[in-house]
Amino acid sequence: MVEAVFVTALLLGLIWLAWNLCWVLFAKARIQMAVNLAARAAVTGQLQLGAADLKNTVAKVAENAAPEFLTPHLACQTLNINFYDQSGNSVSAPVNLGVVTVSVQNYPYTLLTPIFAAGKGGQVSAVGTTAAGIWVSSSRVSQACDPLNCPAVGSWPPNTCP
Amino acid sequence: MIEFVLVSGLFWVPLIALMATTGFRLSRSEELVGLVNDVSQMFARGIDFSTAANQTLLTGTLAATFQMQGNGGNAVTGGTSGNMAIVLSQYFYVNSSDPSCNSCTNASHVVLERRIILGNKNLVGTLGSPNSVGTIPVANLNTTTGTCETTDNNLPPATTCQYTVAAVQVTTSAFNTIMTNLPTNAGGNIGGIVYFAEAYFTDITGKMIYQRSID
Repeated sequence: MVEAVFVTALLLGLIWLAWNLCWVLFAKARIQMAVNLAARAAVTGQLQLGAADLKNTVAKVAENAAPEFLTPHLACQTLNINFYDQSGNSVSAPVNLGVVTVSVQNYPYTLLTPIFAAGKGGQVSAVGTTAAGIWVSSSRVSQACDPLNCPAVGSWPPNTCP
Repeated sequence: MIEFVLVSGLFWVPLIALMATTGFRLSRSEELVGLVNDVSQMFARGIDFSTAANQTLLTGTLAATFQMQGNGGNAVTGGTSGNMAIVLSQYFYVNSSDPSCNSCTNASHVVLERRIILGNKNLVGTLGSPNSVGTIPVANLNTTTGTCETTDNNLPPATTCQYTVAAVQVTTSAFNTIMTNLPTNAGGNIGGIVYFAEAYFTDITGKMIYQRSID
């Protein structure tokens, strides 16, 4: 009986570990894919239907690519869209042969089995550090838009998160 | 009880540890593939990683999760701290009919014409990882841009070093570890260029993860 208790506890721990590790890896892979697609969308300079400007298009692409993780609320809180010139200086709009980066910083993922995160509902994050939470980024070389059909860059995140 | 201790100590605990470390290494490896692909295509399209601002972009955003450290005062020769290094190399095939060559020393050779080391240079080629192919001698290295130049600082931007300095030649066998051939003529009798990015990262187990990308 004693052995059974020990063995069962150990096996449960193993299952918990495997389950949550897989979940975190899955979440990270999904969000990484979403920012990759969003960065690719950013360099096209095309607006998506229903999006008012370029930054909101990029955000929408990311949200649509991983809707189960990047909800409008979490995307607003964690998604960053930035443009740089060729020398690495931050600029307000894409420039020819500059860089666009799309990143998700400190995404607060939620464990599937939150037994060891009492009081936080299984949510793992650490604002301002890279110790926990999911951090992914993607970058592409940008190009200046067609002057005759140049979309507004807009701003991100919105002033008020949904 | 004895059986439990034996089974746990010799089987379950090592199995869990192995699974966890393999999982983390797999995750890190995938992350590194994405990073090195991004950096490689940026380098190939002219993003200048010898500038402090672009290095900050790399260490602060793109490679933030790897705790990559900046170069400090060394623009292109790398620093000595952190768990990660990225080596950017630009190789060029010197066509013997290249108008700038004119029976030059490096005719019909692949040469290394630019190298930028970012992060901890001490990791390059260690822990079983391959070393970066080719070198630019210190005397010919422009320590601001990473390009191969002669000691004359008044040279025009299109330097002659890649044509005249034999030390920057890359042997065929060494270059074949990267790719089989470079185009001998990319237009106007000028040879092709390949942009190569390599990433060296030591994970929490102290082992090396190496990834590379060609553009």
